[in-house]
Amino acid sequence: MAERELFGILALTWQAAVMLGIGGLLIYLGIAKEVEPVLLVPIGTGIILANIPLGGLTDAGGLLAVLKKAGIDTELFPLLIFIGVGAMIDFGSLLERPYTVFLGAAAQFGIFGTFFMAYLLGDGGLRLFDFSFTDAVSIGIIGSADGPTSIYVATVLGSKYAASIVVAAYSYMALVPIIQPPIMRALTTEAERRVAMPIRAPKVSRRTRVLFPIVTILVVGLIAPKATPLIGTLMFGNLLRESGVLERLSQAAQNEMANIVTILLGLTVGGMMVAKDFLRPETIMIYLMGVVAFAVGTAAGVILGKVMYRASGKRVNPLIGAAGISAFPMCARVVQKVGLEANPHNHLIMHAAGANTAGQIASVVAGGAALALVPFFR
Amino acid sequence: MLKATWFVLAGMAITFATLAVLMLVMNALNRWLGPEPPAKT
Repeated sequence: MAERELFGILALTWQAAVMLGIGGLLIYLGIAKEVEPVLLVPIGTGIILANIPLGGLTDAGGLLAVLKKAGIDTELFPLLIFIGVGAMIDFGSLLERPYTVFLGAAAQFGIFGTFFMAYLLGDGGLRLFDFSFTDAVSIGIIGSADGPTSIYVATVLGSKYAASIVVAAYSYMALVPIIQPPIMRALTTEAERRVAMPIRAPKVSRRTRVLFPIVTILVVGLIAPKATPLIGTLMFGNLLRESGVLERLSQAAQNEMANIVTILLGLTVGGMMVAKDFLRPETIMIYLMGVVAFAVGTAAGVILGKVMYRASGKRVNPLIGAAGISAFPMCARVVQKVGLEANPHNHLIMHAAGANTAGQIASVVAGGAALALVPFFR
Repeated sequence: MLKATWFVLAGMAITFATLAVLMLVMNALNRWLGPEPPAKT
């Protein structure tokens, strides 16, 4: 017995060995392939630390257990990250094109459509997987394409799959340039993709930019109060940016704070992926549902874009709807690239950025709506 | 699955309603607080 306690390798199970391999794979993808390295390297390291037998990091009082208790169970880390995200986002392109807010709303069907499928596969019908109503909602939140919102909602709902959901959400964000273009091309005609949109829009005033975060907190908070922690921190960060008198705090939120919390969050999320919880058929299904979530959200945005194309007399390029999911700024760049393939003189980036930032707000609203509705339905 | 359908419809309705109000607010801000005209030189 003493030897087993002395040498971890004697206590190594095949499940723990698989998890060490997964941790190594994430580190490899992050460093060698540069796939979301900021997230995958800390997450991969956290997985390795958590699955070394007898390491004790996930035991009561261990580093990873303490970080989880302090930052995830209290929802502190995702909210701190959101202050940094808010300070990084320029909502100018949304304010200049308010109609793009609906494209962000439509793309949130990725959340609710995926919830429906997960619930159908679980307790709602087929019972093929151990997915309760709240697990299905948490899985659907992958469709928000928003890591902090995914962590927040899955944690508040107490889903047993929170770690898998978070890793899936972050992994697929890196795969947006691969997942989205085929769906965008399949749902649009060449003529629709060629539609040119004006690059310039009427400028908004500084007063509008300063007031926008405050009125957004009021509007979202009063209609969907469960979204207040997320929208409040996101818009507080944006107020730091737009106020014009808090440059030091804005820079601290964007850099020092966001970086420190990202390190701690990544390690903690990785630390939640211990073998006995992670190596289950449900985890593989959650990863498959993640692709569905991003695809459904993209399709819903493009379909609303097509409605706008017809309603506007062919002046709106439906591709910009794909930017409604909130993976910022990747989705907007993908739209620009696919648009340029159809028409080399067409620059959709500003319109797509409007939909993309709308998607950031919409995903928070949808997450808050889901949290508010769960008690009435489960 | 009926309750799941209602959950989806209610969730999308809240999302669209909230963002519709936000769009009205953005339009109002743009109208009332438009950019200042450039200073004359």
